[in-house]
Amino acid sequence: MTMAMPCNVCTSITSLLDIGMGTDSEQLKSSIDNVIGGFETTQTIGSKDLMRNDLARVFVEYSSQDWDGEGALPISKDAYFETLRFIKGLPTYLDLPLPEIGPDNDGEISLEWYRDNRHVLVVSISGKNSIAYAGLFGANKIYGTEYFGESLPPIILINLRRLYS
Amino acid sequence: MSEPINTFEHLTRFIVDRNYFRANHTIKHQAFMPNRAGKTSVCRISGITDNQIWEIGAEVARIRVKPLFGRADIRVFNVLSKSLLVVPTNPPPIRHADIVGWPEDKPKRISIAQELAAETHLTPVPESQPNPPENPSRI
Repeated sequence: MTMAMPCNVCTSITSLLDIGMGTDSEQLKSSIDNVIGGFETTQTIGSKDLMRNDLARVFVEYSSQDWDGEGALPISKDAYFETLRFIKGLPTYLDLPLPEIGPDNDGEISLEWYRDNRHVLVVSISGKNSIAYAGLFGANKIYGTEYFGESLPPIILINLRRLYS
Repeated sequence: MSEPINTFEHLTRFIVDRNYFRANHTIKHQAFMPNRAGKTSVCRISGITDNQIWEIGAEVARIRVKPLFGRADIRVFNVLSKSLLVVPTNPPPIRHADIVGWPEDKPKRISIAQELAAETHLTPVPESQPNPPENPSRI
């Protein structure tokens, strides 16, 4: 008999670990990428295209030095590509609304999920394999920094679930 | 010489970027994040008229070469309650002050900026104000 177990902090199959080596591993990764590419034509995962488009807009619009008139740094390419990787890794099973993507004045990129003024989660992506996050959950607040390697930090997923639970 | 800050004064942060507020006129944390010098620029607005406030806002937008979308008013008390300080500075622009004392840690800065943002909202530039090409009240 097979028993179904809940996985509360699962990362997406779109962000499977990429730690294999050799020809077989490359072929497997290629096959998985093809399958994921097929998924992304569906409407649900197609929302990631909207996020990628918004990210591209932000990257272009805020690519100049001092874009805020107060000495802001341009959005870095590293932050852009790391945000692309973050979007790719977002699990579709959470059925999240689209985040608002915006520039930080230190050249990083923020993704914000907003319910109301006291229920909001922000992740700030540096391009240096680290994610700063902060959230308000009613009277409670959280913040911290997580290493962003091959998959999304579970604490981010846990707090996204918390925001919309 | 600038007058000392009073706990009960009101401040405003002029909003000069469309990514600093949401469609429902709430304010995002980015509006209050400090610049690279660790300062968030604000204007002391107690005791002056709305027209005077918008005139200063137009001047701030001109200096920054940005459109003025509106402003986000907060009380000095709200800033001090987050272990930050408000320091008056010499003009220009007039009635200027800086919010300082931000922690080094970025997640903490975001968290504080989120709370400040949650305690205010966007007041759009009035129609009568001869400014910006991108006024959210006209979008």
